[in-house]
Amino acid sequence: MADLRCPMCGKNNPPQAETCQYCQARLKSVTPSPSEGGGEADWLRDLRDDGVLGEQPQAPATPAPFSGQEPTPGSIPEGEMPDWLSRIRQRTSVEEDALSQIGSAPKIEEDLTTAGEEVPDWLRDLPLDGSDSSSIPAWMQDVRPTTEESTAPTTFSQPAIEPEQPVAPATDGNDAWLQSLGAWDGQPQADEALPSQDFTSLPVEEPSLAEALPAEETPDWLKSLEAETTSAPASAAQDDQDWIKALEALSAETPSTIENTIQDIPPATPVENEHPSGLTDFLHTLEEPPSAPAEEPSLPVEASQAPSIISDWPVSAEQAAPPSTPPLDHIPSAGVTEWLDALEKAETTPEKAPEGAPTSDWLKDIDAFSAPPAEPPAPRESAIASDDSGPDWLRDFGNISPPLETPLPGQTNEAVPDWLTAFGSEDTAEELPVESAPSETRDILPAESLPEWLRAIEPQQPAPGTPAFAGSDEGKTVGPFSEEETSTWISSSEPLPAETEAYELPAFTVETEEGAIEQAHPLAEGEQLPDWIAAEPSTAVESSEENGEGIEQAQLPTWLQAMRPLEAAVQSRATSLDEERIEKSGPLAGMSGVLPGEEAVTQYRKPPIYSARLRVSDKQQVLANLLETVVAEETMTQPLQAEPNQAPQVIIRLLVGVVLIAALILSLLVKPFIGLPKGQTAVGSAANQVFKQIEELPASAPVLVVVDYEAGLSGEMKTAALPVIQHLMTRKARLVMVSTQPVGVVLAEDLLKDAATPDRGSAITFSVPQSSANLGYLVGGAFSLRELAAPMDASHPRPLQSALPAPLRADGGWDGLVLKSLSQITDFKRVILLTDSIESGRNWLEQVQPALAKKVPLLVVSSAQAAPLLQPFQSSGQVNAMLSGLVGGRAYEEITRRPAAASAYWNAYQVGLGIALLLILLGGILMSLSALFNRSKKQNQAKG
Amino acid sequence: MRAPIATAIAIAIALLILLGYFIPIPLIADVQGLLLGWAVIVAGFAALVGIINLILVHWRRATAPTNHNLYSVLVIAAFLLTFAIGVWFGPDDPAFQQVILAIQVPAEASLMAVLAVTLTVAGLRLLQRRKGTLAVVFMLSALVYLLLASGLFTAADWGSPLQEIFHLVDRLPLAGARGILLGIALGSLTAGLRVILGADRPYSG
Repeated sequence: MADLRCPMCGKNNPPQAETCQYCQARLKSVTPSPSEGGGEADWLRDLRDDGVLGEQPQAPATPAPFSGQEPTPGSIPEGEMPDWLSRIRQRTSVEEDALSQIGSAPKIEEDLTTAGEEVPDWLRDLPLDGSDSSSIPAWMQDVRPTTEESTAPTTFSQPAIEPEQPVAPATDGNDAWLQSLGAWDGQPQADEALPSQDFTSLPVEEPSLAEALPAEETPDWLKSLEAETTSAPASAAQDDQDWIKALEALSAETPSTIENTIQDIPPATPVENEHPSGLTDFLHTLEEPPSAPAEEPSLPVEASQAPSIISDWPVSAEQAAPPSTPPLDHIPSAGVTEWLDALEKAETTPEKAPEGAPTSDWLKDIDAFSAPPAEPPAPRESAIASDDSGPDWLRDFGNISPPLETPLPGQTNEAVPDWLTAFGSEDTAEELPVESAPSETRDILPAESLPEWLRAIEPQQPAPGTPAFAGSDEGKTVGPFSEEETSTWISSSEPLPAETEAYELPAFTVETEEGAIEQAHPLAEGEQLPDWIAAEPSTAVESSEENGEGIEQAQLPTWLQAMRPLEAAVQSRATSLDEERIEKSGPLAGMSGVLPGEEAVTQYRKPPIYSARLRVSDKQQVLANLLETVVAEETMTQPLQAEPNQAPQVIIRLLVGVVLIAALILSLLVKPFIGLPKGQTAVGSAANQVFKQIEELPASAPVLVVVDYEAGLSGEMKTAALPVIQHLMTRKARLVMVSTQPVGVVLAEDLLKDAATPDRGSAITFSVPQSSANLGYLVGGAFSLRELAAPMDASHPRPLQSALPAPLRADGGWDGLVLKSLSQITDFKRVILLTDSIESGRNWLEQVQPALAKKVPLLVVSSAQAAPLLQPFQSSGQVNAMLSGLVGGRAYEEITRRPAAASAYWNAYQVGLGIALLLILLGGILMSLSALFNRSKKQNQAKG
Repeated sequence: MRAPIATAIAIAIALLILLGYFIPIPLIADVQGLLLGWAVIVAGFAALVGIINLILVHWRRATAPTNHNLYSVLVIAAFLLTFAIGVWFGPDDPAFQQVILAIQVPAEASLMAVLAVTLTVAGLRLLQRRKGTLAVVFMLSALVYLLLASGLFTAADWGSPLQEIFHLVDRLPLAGARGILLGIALGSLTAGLRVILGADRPYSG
């Protein structure tokens, strides 16, 4: 068999496990689902397979259970006999053979049965009158006289059943016994045509279990049962399952019934009304309602929703029956099996039972020895007292039928055993409500202690038409009391002690208290049970104590185990798990069932800490240090050597300045003693070329003189340009001054004035205002030069006037003598550029020189600073001649043979250059010697 | 692209002026002349704006609540005085010109004289502060060219071979000056092309 998989945790469990070993979840459902097959025992399936159920639907077509006479077994033809009955007969024959082999099996006179072959063998062999007591086991022999003696004075106070209540005639039919069960619910079977499954219908006015029981008193298993029963469908389509569910509910209700039965036991006092028929208590309980007051709460299970079999349970129906509920005798015993019917009739009013009532033969036998009333005044008592015809054990059952009400005063408990007295005393003294009976019963009767026949009912839910006690798990059903079922409850009555013979309880009732069984029913000395019986009680009793010692352990059906009180499961669970663990420390100290936290804590440890350091080798470390050093050196700045002190620097600066100034002053005071280099004045020299260009000017030729130098360099520029301007004045040229420098305009005027001054070497008289014009400041830099050099055309008749519309100084303006013939740049005969910067010279050479188109020579007089950069333009021919610096002026004076300012400054210039050269050279030498001295000093210090 | 309109205008005008240099079409020359006239006016106005900005800057410095700059006050005073004399007398007045020549020319000439002395002292201490090959080369070149500029070597008759060496040494600055001019020319050409192609947009802010 495959393992059971826990629906909660998903782990596998042994197949026999009821709860999960890991999570304690219930592995098997409370109510077996039809699909599981648990609801139908194998024997039931076999019956279905045999067509019993199918052939006997509960339709109205089924013979009415009360319609006719119950056919006796002998009267049933073989062909019409149901299969299950046939199997029972066959099995009984087999059992008979087996018993015959045992040898000690009791023999029952065959003449007591009308049809011996139809009566179960064990019943058939029972001696009815005790004539053949030798064949009866000793325990049975002890039981019979004891029962007779004890039941004689016993009176039952059981008024519920009235003798005159008619007993509905049992009808024959294969499912008559079931229909009679349906009649047990106390309802009159109004419509016989109703299907037998309709016995599930109960009076709606009956309070439900929840209403009858207080919430706090309702056990869980009963609540679950209620929920199940309330959800049970009552539709006709599910009628096939109703009886199964009803039977389940019946088994669930069994404890209550048992308890009711126990309550029926007189505590210790003789009963007033002895059961007339001498039936066993459980049968009596089934038949008659207890003598509980009519106002007592009714059946715990709501009749309308409970399974029909529950509602049919006689005791429950009687307890829950309202006062208006008809007595049991009025209830037709439809559906009751014949033998039960016979028992019923024998128990109630046998004299009123119709003769030839349709009962089973073997039940008729029972009825026969229990039916004859012995004492007319007290029918029940007389019936019990005169119950000589019945078997002893059955009479014992009848004798011990408990009263349904409190015992009469004055009654004693002398004959009642202690354990039984406890039952009666508890029930009668406390006057417990009936509602609490089920729960108490559940507490008192654990599932293991239930009688086996009761436990066997549930897994072996009989099909309609199947006898209640027929069948077994494996389809080995041989009779209503097979070996397993029969021996148990019979054996339970075996160990009754001799002193408690009068109040022997039914076997299943006694089994509720195992200890009581052992104490209250020891076997009398010398008595020996037959082997076939002796084996069972020992097994039944010891199985609960000695689990698994060669004896098959009693196992409850799954559905019944699921219905056990939760305390049982929880208790076993608690003992098996660590929930018994008691917390020893912390805020939960002293509490049990606390989740073990310490173990979990100790399982964890601090996670390892991984170092974030980079693991490098020694070589890598050395290389890294080297790289770091190199990078650091690159970023470091070399600090400048600090000055030793400030005093020498100041002295040096003052000394240098004083030397230079003194030398220049002295050189100015003396005559020129330094001659001009011959190359400066030679043919082809720069000065000679300039001189030549000016010498070629015609008289009154317009010459454009551009004064673009700064005031700071005016001393050098004026010295270089003044001989050229004086030469132009000599040539009677019309000088037009223009400048791109703001200060150039003033410098131009100053240059003209100095050139015209005779003290500066001028040999002729030159009228500056009349012979010259100052166009002023040409705004716009290169743009203005481009506009100035624009050629004349129709749209620009006088570009020069357009560029310089308002000359700064011009006699008569553009229409004056100087400017009248000038319209464009090419109208000038010479353009002389006086500049000290490369930028201004380049602008003129780039913007104006192209417009000159080699028609107008461009002469440049520059400073010595700008000469090297303008000399390329001279080399390229863009500049016709260039004269630079003081040297160029001194050379031009030399050519013109008019010594002027250049000649005066030439000595000072040469002296100044010489002194500067000497100072730099001296300084270099001194510093070099100082460095060498310091190095040798350090070397000496290092050596020393 | 920032300032697309300005860029388009700049490129269009640059191309038009460039075509005026290469294609002698009167229409293009007229347009070129017109645009150059506008540029001159804008440049003149920019000079005026520069002068106004200079005065305002010094005015702020002179009128600052803290750290009054007395030189700014002098600048503003000199500007106002010169502007007033120029407006009153005119730029061609000898007195106005004498103001400039008596102040500006001696001041700038004195600065050039101080520069000459400072350079001499620096040359004297060159090897003291910076010891190295370049310092030595700089010092030697200065000495050589000072001697050459002084005319001592050119005045004397040192013979043909030596005279040729002097001429060779005198041409070395000319070579360097040509290189500088060529570099300036290439730089100007590149800058012009970048403006024409829209790579440089100095006018876009």
